[in-house]
Amino acid sequence: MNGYAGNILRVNLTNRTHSITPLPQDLADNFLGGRGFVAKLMWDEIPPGADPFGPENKVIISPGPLTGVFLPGAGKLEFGAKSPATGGYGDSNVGGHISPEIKYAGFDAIIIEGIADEPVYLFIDDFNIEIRPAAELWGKGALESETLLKQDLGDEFQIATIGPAGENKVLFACISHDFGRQAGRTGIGAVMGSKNLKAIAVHGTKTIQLADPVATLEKGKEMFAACFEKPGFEEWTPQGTAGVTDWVNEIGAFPTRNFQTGYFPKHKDINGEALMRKIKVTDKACYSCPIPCGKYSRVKKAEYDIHVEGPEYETIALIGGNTEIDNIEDCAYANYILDELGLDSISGGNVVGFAMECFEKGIIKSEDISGRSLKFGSVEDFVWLSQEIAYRRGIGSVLADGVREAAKVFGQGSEKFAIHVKGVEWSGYEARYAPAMMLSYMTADVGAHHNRSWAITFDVATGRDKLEGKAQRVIELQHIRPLFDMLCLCRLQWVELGFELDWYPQIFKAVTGKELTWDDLLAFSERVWNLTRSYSLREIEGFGRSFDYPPARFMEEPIPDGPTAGKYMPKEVIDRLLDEYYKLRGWDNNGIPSAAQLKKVGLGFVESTIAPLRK
Amino acid sequence: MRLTTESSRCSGCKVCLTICALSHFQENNPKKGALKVEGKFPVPGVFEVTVCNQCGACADVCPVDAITEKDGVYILDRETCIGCMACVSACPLNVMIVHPAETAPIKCDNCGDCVRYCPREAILDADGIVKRIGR
Amino acid sequence: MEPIKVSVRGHVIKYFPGEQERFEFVSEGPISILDMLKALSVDPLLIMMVNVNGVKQPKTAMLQPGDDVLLFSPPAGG
Repeated sequence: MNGYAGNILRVNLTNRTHSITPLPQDLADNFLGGRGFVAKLMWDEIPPGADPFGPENKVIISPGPLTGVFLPGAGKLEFGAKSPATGGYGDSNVGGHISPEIKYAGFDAIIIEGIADEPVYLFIDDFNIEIRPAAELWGKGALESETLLKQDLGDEFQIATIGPAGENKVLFACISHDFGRQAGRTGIGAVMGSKNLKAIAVHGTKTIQLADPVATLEKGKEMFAACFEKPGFEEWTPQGTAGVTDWVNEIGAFPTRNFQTGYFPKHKDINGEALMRKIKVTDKACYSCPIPCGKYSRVKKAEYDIHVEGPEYETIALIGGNTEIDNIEDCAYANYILDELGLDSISGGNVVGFAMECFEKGIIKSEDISGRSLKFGSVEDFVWLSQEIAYRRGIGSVLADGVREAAKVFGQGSEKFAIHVKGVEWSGYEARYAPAMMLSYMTADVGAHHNRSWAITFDVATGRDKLEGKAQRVIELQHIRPLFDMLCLCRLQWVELGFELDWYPQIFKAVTGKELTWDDLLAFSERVWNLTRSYSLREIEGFGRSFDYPPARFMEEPIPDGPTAGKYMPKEVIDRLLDEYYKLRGWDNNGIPSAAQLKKVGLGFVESTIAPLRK
Repeated sequence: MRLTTESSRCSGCKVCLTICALSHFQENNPKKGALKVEGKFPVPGVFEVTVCNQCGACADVCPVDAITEKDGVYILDRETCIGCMACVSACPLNVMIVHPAETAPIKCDNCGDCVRYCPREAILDADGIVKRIGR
Repeated sequence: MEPIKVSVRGHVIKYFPGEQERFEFVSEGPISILDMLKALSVDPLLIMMVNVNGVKQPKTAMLQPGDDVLLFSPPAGG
């Protein structure tokens, strides 16, 4: 099957068996790959009501039809599982080099089921598959484990690991790869941990079959040449995503003090220039990327000497602004601690910021934490609490379940500033004065994450006071951006470089032989959007509209200072946005897809499950 | 054209390996690229790219004269090669590439595509004739 | 008068006249970046960073005829 490796690898950790079966043609034809495969396989294979940490949950890993091929940004990988954070749909993607490696080994999907009776890692060397003991790695950091596996197996192996946080089933444990790239969101690292699966090591030597190798080479060359000729092709790279820090402050959308406000006065000490001038060692690219956003850094101080990839923008926002760590060195250090522990740095910074605000308000008292303090701005407190969380010690054990669950335990109004949607913590954009961005967070299928729809420039360009047209644009973006996660391509060429979307159907044809327009491809993405919604409806009791609201802080508290001072989004505005969004999506007032909508997007097979949920 | 490198510019994207294999084998398989890109991580955190400098050490040890020089470039005739791999161990830069699906090793023929398409200009023509596309 | 050479990097191209990534802007004399954007009906808040002749400048900086101006879109998260 052109563009695909042609096989699915299924591994059962309970029985220690595996099988390699041909990739079903209809799966490729209807769900493309990556996120599409993850969503469909989850729907089909994980039994309804499965415990996210039980043997019946599955970790599903999938590269896409364009992954590993000669074109810009072809190095993304999708991880999926029933999420312990949302209780429903969960996925997360990662760059680096492991996605192409899985295809060169011969696989379009890896399905991992069951639970091993002792710590293991999955060894994949082309079709040589082994479940190997990992007792010596268990308890070790994610980065250290990668180092040890590379020493053991050779540098040609690509490795994905979890840290202690994953082992201890922290609900925002990530999967780490390539010394600093993470599949961070929705707690799939914890699902790996629940399976006693410490790592996956992959090496492959096979060729990806192409419909037209000559056309692919020529089209790929044109695409790279077009990238090289874009304005500012090289000028953005030195700072990477960290370069946006000043701008997010300028528009008053920078998460600060657990999203109390949108402007951090010391942002220039943690911005891209600070990173570039003070700590960067090298630019570090994912496979086939001409504009590497990865910055590899070193910080050497009396207290520590660390190497870390980053901090990238999200980490700067959630560690730097949200917990007020006001210098790039300590941000990098906190980033390193989270990476080694295997904690998602978005949720990690958000949860620590939440705990700091609880301490500030007296909800967490000094006596609850052995007489110490938990103060905004303290990197020592940040590091201490991160470790307590990763090892589920003391109050860390409560916070390890994320801000939604911790607020239920703490009470005293803390749920108003538990900044999440659907149990997944908010990423790096304060949205009280950005209606399209607010709606993006509210309706993202994986909770409060920006990568399904990032609409802040749309908000600015079309007026942040206007609601008209916002829902429509969010829906468009929710089809465009996740489509990249189905093809398993990076979207930075498009967003950051201005690379035209028309290129992708052209190379798609050369690679797969299938002639599809960009709009045809977007239809696949809409199908998957409705499928992930349906999955969460199936799995979460009472799921629907009430799960699509932002925290009370954003609906009740005006931003106190900075460029967006006074702004907030009252519930009636939120409701207006949701009403319009559901209507345009063909969903009912409770956010449930109509029978007609399901049929329209080719999801007739979910109707019998969804029908009883409609009122 | 003489290939040279500036490894401090390399970001490890491996575009060079993919285009090399796709150009020469019509296969999308960077494992068949005739050069090496290595990342030294987690410490010190640098990339190293190594290209053939056409020194001819491979030709010197080839028992069947499958590697011959023309205009300063050593070309491997894959039909003549018997796969003894003597050249692989003789290569001082470790850039005679072995791939399990190929009986002959894989050798650089100085085509320059890696120079034209390295996004970072980490692989260069020391003579300055071949340049990255758009330069 | 020599025009100012403007180029736009990234997705905010779509908010510029004609969605052009490279164009020339004619000004009667020196003009600030902010005023140039105003003349183009582009909200200056859409621009993350500006390089003038390869050097980073604030949006208040003055442009001279013949300058090369590069306007950056904000990148969308990590």
